[in-house]
Amino acid sequence: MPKNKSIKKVLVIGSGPIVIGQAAEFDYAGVQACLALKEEGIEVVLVNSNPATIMTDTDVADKVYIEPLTIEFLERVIRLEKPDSLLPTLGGQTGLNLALELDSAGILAENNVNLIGVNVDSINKAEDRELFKNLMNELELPIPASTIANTAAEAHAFASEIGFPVIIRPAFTLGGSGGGIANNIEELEKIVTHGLDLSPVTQVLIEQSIKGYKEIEYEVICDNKGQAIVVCNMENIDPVGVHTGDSIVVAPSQTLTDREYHRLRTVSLDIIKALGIAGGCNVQLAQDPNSSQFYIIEVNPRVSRSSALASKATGYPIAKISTLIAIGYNLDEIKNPITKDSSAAVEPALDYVALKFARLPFDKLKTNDNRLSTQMQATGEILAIDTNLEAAFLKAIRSLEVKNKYFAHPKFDKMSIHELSSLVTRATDEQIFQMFAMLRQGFDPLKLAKLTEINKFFVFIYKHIIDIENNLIANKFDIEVLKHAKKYGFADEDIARFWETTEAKVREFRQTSGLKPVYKMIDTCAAEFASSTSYFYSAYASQNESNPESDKQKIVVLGSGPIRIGQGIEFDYATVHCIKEVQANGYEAVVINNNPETVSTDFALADKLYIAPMVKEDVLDIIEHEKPVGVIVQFGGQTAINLCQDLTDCGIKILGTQNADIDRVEDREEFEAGLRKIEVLQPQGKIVNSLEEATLAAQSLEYPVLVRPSFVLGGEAMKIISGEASLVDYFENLDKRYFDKPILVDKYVNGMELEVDAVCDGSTVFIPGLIEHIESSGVHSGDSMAVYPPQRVTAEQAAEVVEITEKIAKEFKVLGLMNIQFIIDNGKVFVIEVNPRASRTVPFLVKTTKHNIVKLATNVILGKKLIDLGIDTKLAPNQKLISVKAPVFSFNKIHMIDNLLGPEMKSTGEVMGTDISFEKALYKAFLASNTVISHKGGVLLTASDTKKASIVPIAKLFSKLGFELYATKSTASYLREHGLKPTVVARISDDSEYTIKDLFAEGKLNYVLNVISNDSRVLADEVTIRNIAISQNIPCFSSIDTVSALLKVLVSQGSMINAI
Amino acid sequence: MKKVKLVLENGMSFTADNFGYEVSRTEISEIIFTTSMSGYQEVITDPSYYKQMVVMTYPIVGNYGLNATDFESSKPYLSALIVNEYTEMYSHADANQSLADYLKEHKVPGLCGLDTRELTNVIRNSGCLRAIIVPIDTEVSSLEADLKAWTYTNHVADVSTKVSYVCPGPNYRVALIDCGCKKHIIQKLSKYGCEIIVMPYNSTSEQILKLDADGVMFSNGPGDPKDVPETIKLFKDLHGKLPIFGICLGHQIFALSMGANTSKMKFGHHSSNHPVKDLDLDTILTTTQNHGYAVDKIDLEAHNLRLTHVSLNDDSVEGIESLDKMSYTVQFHPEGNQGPSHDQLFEKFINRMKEEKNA
Repeated sequence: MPKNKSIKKVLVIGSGPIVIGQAAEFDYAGVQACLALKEEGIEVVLVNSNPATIMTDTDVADKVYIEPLTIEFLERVIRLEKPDSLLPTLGGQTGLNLALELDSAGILAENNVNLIGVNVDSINKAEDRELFKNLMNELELPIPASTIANTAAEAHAFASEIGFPVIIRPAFTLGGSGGGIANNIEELEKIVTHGLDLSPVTQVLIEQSIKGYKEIEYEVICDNKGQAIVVCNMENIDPVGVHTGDSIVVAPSQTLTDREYHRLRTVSLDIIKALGIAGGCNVQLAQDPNSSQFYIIEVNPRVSRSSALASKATGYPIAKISTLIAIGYNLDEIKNPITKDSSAAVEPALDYVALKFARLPFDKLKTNDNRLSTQMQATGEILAIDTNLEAAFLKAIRSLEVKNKYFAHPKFDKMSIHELSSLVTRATDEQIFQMFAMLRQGFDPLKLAKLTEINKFFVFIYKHIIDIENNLIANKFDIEVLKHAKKYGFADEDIARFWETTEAKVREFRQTSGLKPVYKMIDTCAAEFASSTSYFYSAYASQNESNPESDKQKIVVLGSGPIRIGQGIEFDYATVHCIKEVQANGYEAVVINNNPETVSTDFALADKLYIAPMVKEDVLDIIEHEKPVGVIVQFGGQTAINLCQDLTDCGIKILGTQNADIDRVEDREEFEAGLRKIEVLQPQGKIVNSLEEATLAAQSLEYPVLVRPSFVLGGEAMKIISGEASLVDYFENLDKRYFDKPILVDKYVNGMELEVDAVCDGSTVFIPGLIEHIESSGVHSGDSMAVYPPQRVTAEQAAEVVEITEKIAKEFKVLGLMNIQFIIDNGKVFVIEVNPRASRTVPFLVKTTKHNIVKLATNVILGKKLIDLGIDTKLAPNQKLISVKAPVFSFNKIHMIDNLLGPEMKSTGEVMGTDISFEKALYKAFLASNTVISHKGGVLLTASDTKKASIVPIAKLFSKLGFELYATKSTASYLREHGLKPTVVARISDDSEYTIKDLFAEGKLNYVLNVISNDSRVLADEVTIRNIAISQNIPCFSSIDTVSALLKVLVSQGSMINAI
Repeated sequence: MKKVKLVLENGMSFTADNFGYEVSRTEISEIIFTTSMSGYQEVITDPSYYKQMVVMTYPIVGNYGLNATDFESSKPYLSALIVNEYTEMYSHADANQSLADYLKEHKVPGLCGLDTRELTNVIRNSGCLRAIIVPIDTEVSSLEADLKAWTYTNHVADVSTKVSYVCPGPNYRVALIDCGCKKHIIQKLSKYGCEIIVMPYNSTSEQILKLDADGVMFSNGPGDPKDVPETIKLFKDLHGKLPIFGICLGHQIFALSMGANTSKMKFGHHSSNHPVKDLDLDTILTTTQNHGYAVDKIDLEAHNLRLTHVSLNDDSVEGIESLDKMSYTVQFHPEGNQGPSHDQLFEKFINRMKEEKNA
């Protein structure tokens, strides 16, 4: 069937803010979908609440709505735009669920909107446990046996029928707590009894355990005729039990025989056909390593994170092809866009291995439990490609942006086998380091495979890496040994360590020996057909396929690596726009990045794409091969900026702000000196090396002070300290490693925070708009709500901010983008931070002010002046509409020690709400960030002593709006003193019949306000309160300012009732 | 590992490590590549690869060792296996031998540690080439004339069974003309309960008809179909007398027997992801293929043939049927192993035999 001509206008729903489990992959999918639809002449209407996405650019869709992803808003868009179709499969689970809701509410039928790409029946069959079970039974496909038990006897009966081990999951307990694996009757008895106890409905789910099975995934595509192909299969290196999003995953599978591969392939195709899905689908299966038994784990009836990975791993654009299928095409009518010659019905053949590592957030989100489980916890991922697995592993660890760039870990390498043996059995983000530490000490790989349940095939790969390491140590500056090590992916830096020399010396030795990588093409067909895709990976092999010759001059743009807390999709947004503008200026854009989820690694975007670790050696090799006129580093976040020094040292031309100037901004003393010179205020500060010095410094600066280690990013270990006791506390608890460098003590200025992103051309600046933070200073800028245009800034203050910005730009010779954070306190403007690069707020500004500052900055970097670009003002006039940016957290995915907001960033994504008034915009932002807004109910108030006064006005307003107030004893009595009548409720730790926990359980709370000073000792009670609130999705605030904003919304939407 | 040199007829040479059987100098044979990502055990024991060096484009080979069940014949037929990376430390519960040990046992050299993608690009661009493995210090120019002159036409005779034998079964009796038959063709027929009498490629129609078979199957096999006029004649003599199904070489032999033509392809089809359109069912099949010759698409009707399957990649002939429906053949491998299988083509054969029997 050719294209369905009745489809003329399609609504696409995005996936909303970036949260754990739903990240940039849906921007990548959505962009592909929108562009494919437009190419077919179809009008595209897009709704997404996330401004930091390429899909919400107006050149991607015809109509873009940045609105909360709720039924109400979607219905309004539908009524306004009257699309004839809705494509729901590209917006993750969010998009799919919304589509289902719209359908079941009758809104689609009422407005004559057809669901395309999927039907409700097939979604239900895939996602409803019972229906899925039925379908599998119909197809005679095995799924792990399971049952629901309400008594221990029922559990026994089931376990004796299917045999041990079994998994027990109590129903409706937080994070599955109380569950476990029982290997025998005794364990079953114990766990079930406990589980039934914990479960509010006295119910446990008992499931046959397939822990330790190989987890295999198939990405399949089916068209309207039921013609289906497998795009890619993948093997999880971590066995069943670890979420595939957290696992190390390799494509294609490595340890399946052809018979097994095709058995599972056939099953996957049978499932997609039976489900009747027209488009992409992900099938997860478990294969017993010791028999031919397999089970179906689950099916995702939509484009998923795995399909983005599969697209990048194979070169086959799943989202694009799925979209074409959704509008009526069939596989045999579509050409493979990579080869342009072969059919889209060809299953890709790989001639390399593609390895995915998950980027876990435990470095930022402090937890005492870094175990990997069936709940995904990773924020991002990287892709590493080579022709052997050893090299893929070594590239992966270099790409991951973690401290260790090699499989050596000082902590674990010092441990005994005995200690390691007990640790290594648990799947954690550190397990691989523990495995290497054990192998390094000579531990038997077979025993290690048994201990970890990781297939010995992969353990042997690790062992091979250790063997090469030993060979390097024994044979310094031996060219044959070096050749071998390079082929298997060893970095010059690692080799330098084994050879006890410098990376530069190894590089020199290598290059004089004529040893350098070649670049191989990713073409979907293993070279069976000639292809001209400019999508490459490096390998130490013989034939180079990336021809560096070009008619045009080339510019290399560095991407931002894996998404992690503090460096999100915003940087990919900037990178993508930079690439487009580089091309628009007549250059060839060469991109280096390793994040498979993103738009910047769409091989259709740049002129050339290299998947590579973002480290000196790999990047330099590519640059030396491509010989660009320069490299742009300022859009790829800290990842790219960090390479600036090395590249400059190697004589590579950096386009934009120069390394020396970046250094001056980042070096505290030079930075302070610079600001003094241009007479710009900043909070006073001192550099100290001991607690004694810190105490003196704090005394002279006067508390509160802001204390933090130097040379760290994103507010790491930063604290606001209000007294000496807290200062002592801070020093005692600070990780030893921070003491290598001085500690910074600054006067804490508490005021209104402003953020500026400016384009600087060397002589003047352009600021598209000022962003005002809603929370006062103290909360990390990435975690605070913000508004454009500012609501409280005077014209004089704005003028001063512009003047300071220009002064800083000139003083530090900024060329391109720069981000400055200001605090206005008592009418005085202080500068607290300058980042000589694109920042997190860039996409929000582009969307709200309509000034594409990335485009401008790129032009400036390429030598144009702002005035020539039509910019004749320093600060753009404010837009009429008001936009609020709100952070989105993923706390419910991770067992955190504490989720209180502070100077360390913790959010994973953001949303934007825009409307004609501040209140309306706030409302949308709250709504879009999944804050449940209630107009009545109960509010729990707790505050530490120093903060009690601040909650009184808020409590009054809540009370006036008719809310029931609850407070713990001391807070309650304080409120009483101020004329309020809160209900006193016992702390959780109190020995009381009725505590806060019961209040939660009875559903009496609609808001939780827990205001404590930043340096208070963390009380177990408060953490529990916050955790319960998060698990029940009850808005939980720790900042007075956020609550005030919420109250603005409540007041604006409700009527005040006043007796006359 | 010992270093050896792989020399191609175009003068190019590759240095490689020699695993499996240690060799100093091989005989000349043809070099081809396959893009199948798994199934090396099936590939090395597929008689169709006789007198061919096989390059696996998938770079890591040997991972799951060799097991007792996935052989396609009793020994390896290819002249060398060429891979990027050979895995000695295999891992699979069913494995009982490493790939290298097996190759060694059967005196087949394996090459690894060379840029197999480069080699693949060369073969793709120049078409399949003659090649030889020689000691590392051999002068390439000394081999050129021999390489260019090499031809071989005795493939099928070498690999076909010399004597007939029976695989018992309760249902239809099938005479299987062994041109280099893969074991899984026999297994598929067995699955449907067929009694299979495997006959040499040069059997006469009298011999076959004497068997009182319900149908005849012409198997896959190596080489140029025009090298086996006796088998072409056999097909011609049998056509119309009882249902015939042919696979791969058997398909080409059918075309020639009907007067159509076959030609050598540039580098052939060797993969398990080849998309084929089934024109009768109007659907796509992902197929396993392994052939260097193809049936010419011209004038099929004139030879009482109709096109049933066509390649989506290059529009080449993938399946034909005689207009009287007595014989049909496919170029690809519906038996799978390695690769996907398409049982419906075997079912069709069973049904054809049933119809004839009932008629």
